[in-house]
Amino acid sequence: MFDAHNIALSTAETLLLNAAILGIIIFALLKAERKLDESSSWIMLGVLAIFAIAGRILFEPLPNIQPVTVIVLLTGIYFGAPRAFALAGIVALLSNLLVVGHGPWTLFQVIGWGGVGITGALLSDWLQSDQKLNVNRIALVAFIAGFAFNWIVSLSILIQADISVLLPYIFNGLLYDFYHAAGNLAFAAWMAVPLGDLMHRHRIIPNENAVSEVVTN
Amino acid sequence: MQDLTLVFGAVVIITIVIMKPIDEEYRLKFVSGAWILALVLTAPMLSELWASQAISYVEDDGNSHDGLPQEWEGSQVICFDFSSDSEHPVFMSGTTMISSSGESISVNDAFNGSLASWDGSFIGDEAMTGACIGGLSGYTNGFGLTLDAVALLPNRDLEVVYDVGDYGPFVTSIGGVTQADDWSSWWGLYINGAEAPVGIGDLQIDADDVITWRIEP
Repeated sequence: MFDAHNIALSTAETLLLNAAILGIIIFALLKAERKLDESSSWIMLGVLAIFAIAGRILFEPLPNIQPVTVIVLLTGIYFGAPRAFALAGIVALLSNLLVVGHGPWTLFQVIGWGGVGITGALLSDWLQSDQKLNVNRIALVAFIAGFAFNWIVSLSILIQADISVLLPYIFNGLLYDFYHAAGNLAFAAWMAVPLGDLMHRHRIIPNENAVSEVVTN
Repeated sequence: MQDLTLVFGAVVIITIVIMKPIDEEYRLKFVSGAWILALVLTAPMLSELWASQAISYVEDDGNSHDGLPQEWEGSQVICFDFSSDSEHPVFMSGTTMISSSGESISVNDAFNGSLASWDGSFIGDEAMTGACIGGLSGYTNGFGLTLDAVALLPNRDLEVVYDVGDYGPFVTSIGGVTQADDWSSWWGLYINGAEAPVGIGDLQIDADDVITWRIEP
């Protein structure tokens, strides 16, 4: 009689729908974040993972434009390399399993995004000035990271192909890499400050290394 | 192509106009936003343009497959080079790449066939106009390859006319372009860019050889 699930959406319509869903998720999480404990960095990492996974899936209709790279970069700046690497792994694995497709390349994506997180941690001082993010520098690093990440993931073809195909393969993908880089630039421009503020509130205090509970047992 | 120029011309103008009056804080946001919008809107056109360019061709490394589609690597290819004096009615611009199923895959405007004459001087500096049929395999004789390849085209656009003399078959006309009676023009035969040492009927070919017919001089 009436099949409400049988509606074919165009790319633009899918995107609009996804943007609305993403808006709801972000709005709800931002509301909830205000009630979080100042030092709940672990919960913050979970929230960031949800942002990144949701963002990657919801932006899927657009060619290679997704917020994961910028989120991992910011995580590196505020939470350090190990947590950024862990976030990279969770996001790559879960979003690939859920929608985008899981395979040997997932490992390369984890390494690629992990590398972006390490870069953020290493350049942490340079990317901030006077306790504030330097958005132009972050945009620059994010832009370069778009290419670097894609080239690292491109290495996954070596599993099945000879090294001689690598260069033409990378060359073929340059336009696609450029979309990733341009998307990163836009995400950095729009998201770096609000996300940075969010992370700053829950950043790890340097002397947080309290006595482990295991020791008392 | 015109649409692309129009879109990106507009974005460049918007970028320049926006730069001055907008507050520095918002500049990157609006510029990146405008660029992303333009890139997303033109994504199908851009990727088509990218794919049609030399990108999918084998790199210029002095190999006989230079400029041919990558998927033809290791297969047998036959090319036909027409000149401006003896234009082909269909293949007038660039070199049309035709698959072994007779379909046009792409046009390479810069393909020169890497042709060299006996003394080693390059005659292939100028781009060829004509067609290549590739992805063929299993031929050991040049004449068989020539006849079978042109038979793949649905409209007999490259019909081969030949005489059989004391020295075997002799090609006099390809695709309606006939050699001159006074020998002021003739169909030259090349194998892997070098002038063939024997006639087409005696030409032995290997699995990855490229044969070129060129209307001379």
